[in-house]
Amino acid sequence: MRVRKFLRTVLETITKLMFIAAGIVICAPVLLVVTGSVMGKGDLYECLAPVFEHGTGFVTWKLIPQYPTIENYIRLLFYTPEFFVLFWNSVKMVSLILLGQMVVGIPAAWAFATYAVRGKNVLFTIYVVLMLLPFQVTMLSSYLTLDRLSLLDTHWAVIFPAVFSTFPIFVIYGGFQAIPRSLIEAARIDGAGEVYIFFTVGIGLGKGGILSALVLGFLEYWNMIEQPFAFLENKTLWPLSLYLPEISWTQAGFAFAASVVMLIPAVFVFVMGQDYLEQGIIYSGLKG
Amino acid sequence: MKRFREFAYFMIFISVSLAGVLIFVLIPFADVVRRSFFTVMSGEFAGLDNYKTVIHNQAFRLAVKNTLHFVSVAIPLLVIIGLAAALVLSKIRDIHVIKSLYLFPMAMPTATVVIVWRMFFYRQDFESLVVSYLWKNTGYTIVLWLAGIAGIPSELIEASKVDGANKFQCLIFVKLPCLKGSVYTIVILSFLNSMKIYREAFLVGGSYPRKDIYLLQHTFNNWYVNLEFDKMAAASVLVALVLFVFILLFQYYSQS
Amino acid sequence: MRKKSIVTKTAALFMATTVGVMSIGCSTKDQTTSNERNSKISTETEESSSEYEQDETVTGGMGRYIETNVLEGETFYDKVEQQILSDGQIVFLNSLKKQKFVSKDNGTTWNMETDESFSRFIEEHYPAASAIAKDGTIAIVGMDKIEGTESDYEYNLYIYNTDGTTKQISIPLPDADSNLRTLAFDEQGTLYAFASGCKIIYQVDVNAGTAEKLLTLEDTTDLIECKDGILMCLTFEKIFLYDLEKKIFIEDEVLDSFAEQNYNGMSWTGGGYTAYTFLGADKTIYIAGEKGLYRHVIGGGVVEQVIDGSLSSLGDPTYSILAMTMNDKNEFLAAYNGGKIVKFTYDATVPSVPNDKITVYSLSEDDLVKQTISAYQTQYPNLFIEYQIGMDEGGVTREDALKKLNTQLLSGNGPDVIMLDGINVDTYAEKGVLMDLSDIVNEIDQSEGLYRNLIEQIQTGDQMYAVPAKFFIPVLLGNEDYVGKANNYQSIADMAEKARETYSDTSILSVCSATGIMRRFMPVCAPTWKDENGQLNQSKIREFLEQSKRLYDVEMNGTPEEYIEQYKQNLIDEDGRNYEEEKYFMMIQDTFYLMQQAPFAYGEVVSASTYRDMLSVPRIKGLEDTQIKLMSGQCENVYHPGSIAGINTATKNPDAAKQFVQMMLGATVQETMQFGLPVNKKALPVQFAYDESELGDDGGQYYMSFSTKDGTHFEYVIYPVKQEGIDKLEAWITQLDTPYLSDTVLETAIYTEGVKYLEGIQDIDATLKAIVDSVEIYLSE
Repeated sequence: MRVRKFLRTVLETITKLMFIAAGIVICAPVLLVVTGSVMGKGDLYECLAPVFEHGTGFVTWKLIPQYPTIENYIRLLFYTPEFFVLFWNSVKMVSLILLGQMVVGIPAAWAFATYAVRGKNVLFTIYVVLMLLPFQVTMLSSYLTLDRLSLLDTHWAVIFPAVFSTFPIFVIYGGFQAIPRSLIEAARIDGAGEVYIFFTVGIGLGKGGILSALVLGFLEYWNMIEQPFAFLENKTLWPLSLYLPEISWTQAGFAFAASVVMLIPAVFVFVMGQDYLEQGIIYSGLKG
Repeated sequence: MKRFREFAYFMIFISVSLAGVLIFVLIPFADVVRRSFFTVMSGEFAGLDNYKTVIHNQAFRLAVKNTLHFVSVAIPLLVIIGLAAALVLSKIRDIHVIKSLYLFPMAMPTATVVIVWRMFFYRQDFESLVVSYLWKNTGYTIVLWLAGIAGIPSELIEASKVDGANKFQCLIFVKLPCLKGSVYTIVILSFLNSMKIYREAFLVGGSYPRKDIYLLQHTFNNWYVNLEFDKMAAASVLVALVLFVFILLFQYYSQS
Repeated sequence: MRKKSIVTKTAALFMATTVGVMSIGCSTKDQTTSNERNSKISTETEESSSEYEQDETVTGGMGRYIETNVLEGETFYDKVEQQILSDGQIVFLNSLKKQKFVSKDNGTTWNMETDESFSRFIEEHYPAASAIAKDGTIAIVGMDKIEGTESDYEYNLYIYNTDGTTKQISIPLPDADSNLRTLAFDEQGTLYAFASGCKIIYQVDVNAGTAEKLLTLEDTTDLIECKDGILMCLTFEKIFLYDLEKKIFIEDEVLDSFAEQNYNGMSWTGGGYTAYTFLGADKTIYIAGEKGLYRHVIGGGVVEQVIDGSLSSLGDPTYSILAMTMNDKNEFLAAYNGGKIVKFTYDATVPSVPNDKITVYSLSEDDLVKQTISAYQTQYPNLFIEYQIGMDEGGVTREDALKKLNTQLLSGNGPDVIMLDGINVDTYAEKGVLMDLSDIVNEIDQSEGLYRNLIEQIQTGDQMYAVPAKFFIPVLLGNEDYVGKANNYQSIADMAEKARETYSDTSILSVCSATGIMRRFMPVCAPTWKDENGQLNQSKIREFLEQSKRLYDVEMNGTPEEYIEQYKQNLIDEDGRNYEEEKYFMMIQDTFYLMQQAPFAYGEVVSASTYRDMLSVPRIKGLEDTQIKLMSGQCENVYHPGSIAGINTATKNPDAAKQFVQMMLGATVQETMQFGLPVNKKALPVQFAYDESELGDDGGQYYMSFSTKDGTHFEYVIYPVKQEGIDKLEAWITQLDTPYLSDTVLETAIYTEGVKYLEGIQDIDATLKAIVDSVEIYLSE
């Protein structure tokens, strides 16, 4: 028996290591970007010139740069005032979007999950289809609508459509679906009001789905490009995601540094969100 | 009475969302539908002309073909790889680090990803696109599968073991059916993310990339640049219709 | 639970980092000496100047400066000094031309005054710098030839009094390399003299004839002024203000950051100032430049815009400021090179931003548009022209810009005038976006004459949807033996190979990159790549690639390594701009030919001055048998149209839009166009006009010189173009029948794939296939 257990552990460890190895490979690009951000122009030129000049040829990458420098970060943080403006733009827009999505989306998802109404499925399907339509399709029409509402060239032009996006509803719905009806019925029998049930049972047990939606939403909007570009004329309103300049080899280090700084909040959200994400989904109460 | 009550509460909870979706999503889309029946600048009624043009348009057909190709290859791959990995990982304790590693790619801005891609692949082919897609989405898929797997009542598994089922039979007959709900969510999300692969294809290949990676959004994008809004509108409606039918069917299946 | 604490710790770390990063941002925002704050303020300044307009529009604000030309037609030559005499007369002194322009009525009318003895004085002592005092005394730094030498000069300070007497003041300078360079008088008649080299400013007592060192400046200055106890010195990066009483420099960060943000260097360019500064009453300073006139109270917190550049001649890129001043009625007088004096008067009855507005759009910045806007604004002050540039920021791609334009067009907010350079004219014409401009063209043709062939060739159909306002001509020049037989692209490649045999260690084509070579020959080859139906002609494309490869091989095998390296290094500048995409890239680059290090040169004639320079080449010793001809590649008689104007059918102001295009095609603007050859027949000879009296003894108009890295110095004479040259050009023009209109999609494919073929990474068939594939998609969309 002990042998069996031992073998099991060995197998486990090997599997884990394999996964971790693969995981590191997967994360290689991130490493690249981070190391690239501390490289000076000389190192970068050596590594990147083949790509940008010919678009061909393989590139060698130095894991440890010859002359590490934080000049890119310094330039970014101290000499690029636009950076902070854009950063706060991103923060502002993403926070408002996520907040709005929660206020609008959680009740909607609850409605879909809890109440039986004729045609609900059709409506839900419509919601899903809308979610899947590429941005280009509705770009012009959205532009015109926003224009009529005088929202163009303000942050609201990006925030409002995003707030009403049907994507978080879909994700949160998944979370609510896992809540057994019996629980809700039980609460009703106990005399709880619908709204009370929503807050205690729904949000309480649906946390996983909600947090999933938040994390996914954050990543989506932190990196968004098409909407702000189309609807925001004034460059001082732009989010950070539009800032990564068209990268040429002279700017690569700088762009990497900017990418890393952009990454940090995303990573932060990840790390915080991951645990909750899973907790919520796994410990979801009674099943059956 | 109950029916009405259900309906009333439904409306209460969904009203805000409905209103917003109406204004910001449905009305613009209705405008698109309207435009699909008219010519671009002169505003003449064109009936189904635009639709006919679109269906016969070679570029559109190529894009549809490629998009379908991609979807039919990448999504199953992602789903299956994700499931396989999740099944293995579900037996192991303490996989937090692994999950973090695999989730990381989701956070990278696409522009940076493409730089790296260009450095090492620079190929504009279908396989690279699939690899990029898998790279980005495997992590999250695994997490979702893991969550679904964890939700399988252990009593069922125990019961099947008692009944004499081996691992494989357990998998097929017990686990998978329980995961139907997860399948639905995962497939939809994967599909959503597969549409996003356009950004990578665009950043690597430009507006007119190699034939294999020319996708629907390329067509839309280029039509936009060339003022072909009538075609865009008709194509959008077509795409939306197809999606609608497909998802309705899929929903039906996963809820049965 | 161990898990949780690790997570918490990591989370805390990230939080801390983020907060740290953010506080860096905040603290640098608060630091007074950081660039960031300054730039932020300047952003505010910029915004406030545009807010200035916006607010006014919102509140219906009235009042702005209107300008009138109060003197025209005189040419200023070199520097002009300004002064307001104690009796109120306003003077612009143009020493080199021995002229004084004087106004006795606060700037409304002007007279030119000359003085026999002053003229003689100037003839004896070439004025390198001058200044005029409030009592009319003139100080001159004369460039005197040193006796017995060929070209050695010394710079002496002379005072020319109003009674005609002169005297010389000698100022002992600390070293032999220093020379007096800039002068200014203060209200009391004390003279300030700046010496280059040592960078010292001397305070000179004119009566006593003595000089004292006052201060040392950090940088060279070409403009100083002294008023109200403040000495102002304009240097390249900074405007220095010195308090004469307290004997210290005044720290003014607001002014510094304004200068840094708005001007890429403030200097005298030889033809005018990129930024001109002068002192006003009550310790204010004014800065004039392309963006307009700004006022700043010294030591104060804002720089405010007084006159908007885009609404006045200040924003006209063809004019440079020579001098500017203001009278006691807060009116401004400006003297521009090209010989005009403009007076700016405040009119409270005119809306500060005209209510009527039209929008002009172009993908990239077009100087001709700016010039036309300026001319238009001055003539029609009641109309405001907004200039929208699609790709003005780095990261915006052509497509994004076009999508935005299209969105605007469809929503009815499109621009009134659309410049179609880089845009597919047919697409927009087909969709009914563009108006027929035939009547405008016919009108100007009848009154002034247009080169109709150039205009008609780019139309597809009977209407004229797009009219080019300028054009360039690809030419080939060089030694008869080489250039004589180069009549198509293949023979050009033959010529290059032949050249390489003799000239083995130099650059033959002056461009060391695959894309560069393709780009420079693109105009004479591209028109043949598509047939009338828009289908690709694959054999022509193949030929283009093959011959380009020959050229590439010739260039890269033999050009010295360092030159290639240097070329690559300089290709992309700090801002990410690609030199090969700049407008000057296509110009004739004849440095190597002139130095006889290569047997031919090629490129586009991009302006009248390029043509003139080119005609002067055969007059250089050793290059007498230079042949100059139109470049024929895969097609002949090619021209490259530019500033292609179109009007939006949905424009809400068609009259104004038409007027704008008319102005762009009209002689007034076309005569002074600096980049591009005019399509206006009347304007062409005017572009070559010159002043006989300004020619040198050898008949030369300008003298060009340059030195190479290894120290060889090269000089040559540029002669004015006489009627013969003009006739030849006109004959060429009538011949031109093949326009080069860039097809961005096709060209991008050719560059992307062509590079691989030229550099030997991909074979011709694969390259051709890739190009055809991607264009096929384009055609089938």
